[in-house]
Amino acid sequence: VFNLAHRSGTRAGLRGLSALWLLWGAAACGPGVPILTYHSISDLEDPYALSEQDFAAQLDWVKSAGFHTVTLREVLDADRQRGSLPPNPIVLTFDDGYQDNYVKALPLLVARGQRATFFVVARFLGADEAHRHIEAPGTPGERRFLLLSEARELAAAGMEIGSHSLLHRRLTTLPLDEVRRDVQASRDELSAALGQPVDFFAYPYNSERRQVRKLVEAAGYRAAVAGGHGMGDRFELPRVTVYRNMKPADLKSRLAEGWAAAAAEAN
Amino acid sequence: MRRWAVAAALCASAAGADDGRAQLVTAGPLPQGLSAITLFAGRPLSGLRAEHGFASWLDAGLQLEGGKEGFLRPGLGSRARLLRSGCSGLTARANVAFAAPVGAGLAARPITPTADGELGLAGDVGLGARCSVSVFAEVSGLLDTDLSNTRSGLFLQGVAGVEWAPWGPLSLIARAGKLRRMHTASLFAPGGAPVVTGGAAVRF
Repeated sequence: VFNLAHRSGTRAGLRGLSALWLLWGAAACGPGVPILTYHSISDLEDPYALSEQDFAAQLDWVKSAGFHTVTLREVLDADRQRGSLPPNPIVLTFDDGYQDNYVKALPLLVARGQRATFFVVARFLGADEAHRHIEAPGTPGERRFLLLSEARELAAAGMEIGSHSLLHRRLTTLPLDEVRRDVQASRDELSAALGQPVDFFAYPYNSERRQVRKLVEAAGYRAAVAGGHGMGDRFELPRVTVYRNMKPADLKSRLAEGWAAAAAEAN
Repeated sequence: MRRWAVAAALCASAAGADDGRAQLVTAGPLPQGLSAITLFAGRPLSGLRAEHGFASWLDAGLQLEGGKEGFLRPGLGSRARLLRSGCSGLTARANVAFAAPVGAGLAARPITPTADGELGLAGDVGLGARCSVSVFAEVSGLLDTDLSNTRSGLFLQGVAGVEWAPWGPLSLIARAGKLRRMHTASLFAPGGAPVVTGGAAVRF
């Protein structure tokens, strides 16, 4: 009797384990679409600036590793069953709208048939060379931003343009009314200037909280990207930041981290 | 010799359960026959842990944890009491777990499946008439690996916290600390990520 009970107990245990394993398999359906964050493609002494050579090497690795670059629009459409994604999709995003995104990054992307999403600061887009927005002019840390015509050329080349706010202020420090005006005006101004809807938003400094996310959603955006701590919902899509001197091997390891590395080194 | 005798006496007392104590889950292994379920939420892990005391100095349990980076981490753990003196003690802890990404919707921080092992040393001091408040601290080392060089790492975690049993079998737990990769010299140097969790435990 003991043996029978023991055996049936063992069988029940095995069945339980099998059920748990199946449940685990169903839950562990793999990560979603990884989103990378780039900033300046230059030799600036900045932790977020990546050299042209390192950027080209990363793009080559992305291609050779079987990743297919897609836009956020395609990810959202696929999520709503309005389209499908290629195998191993990946989204490349650029924050801030530096001129080197157009001068250096665009040719490298186009040459490889790759696409990216550029988050530009609406009021930093100069109308012409005389009005180009430049920070720290004449210093080694000079930063030149896109002209409106360059942003249009990015869009014409198949790149996606999103909003990175009106003036690149940390939205979590602003009164909510000001945040509302900022996210709405940046969407309206960019849409009008580019002649196409601007549906995606990137929080300046990746700084966001629930009320800010709600205002971004209320402004009509379809989704927003955040930093490494993003929760994965539509208005807090997590991104992996690319830092200076990151080689393809570093990128590879950041694209598949263990949980402890992801938790300990978020963003 | 006297020092060894004191240590031996402390070890011997570690094996004996004091029925008058509140038996908090953070105050070393649960006494033999006692079980506890702990629910906790925070950063980097949230989840549920079930433990049972198998000897007066040893307990073991199952855990299911997850993190907002988009992973689940089921595992097994055990604790052994090394020393006890009154309401205070020193405990060793070992855990093994497996973490894998879960369906995270649109986009996810890319988490790769890994196995990990964790070894920790915890000290606790009981306060109050029945040791109904436990102040504890733990340092642990964690090896997280997928058997490749690029995705294996050693991590160091230091946490401190407090557990309070306001009523019967229920207790409330709060802990805070830091998790960081072990290649950097000090746990107190900048970097790493905060560990902040709160939860409740029921003993039965």
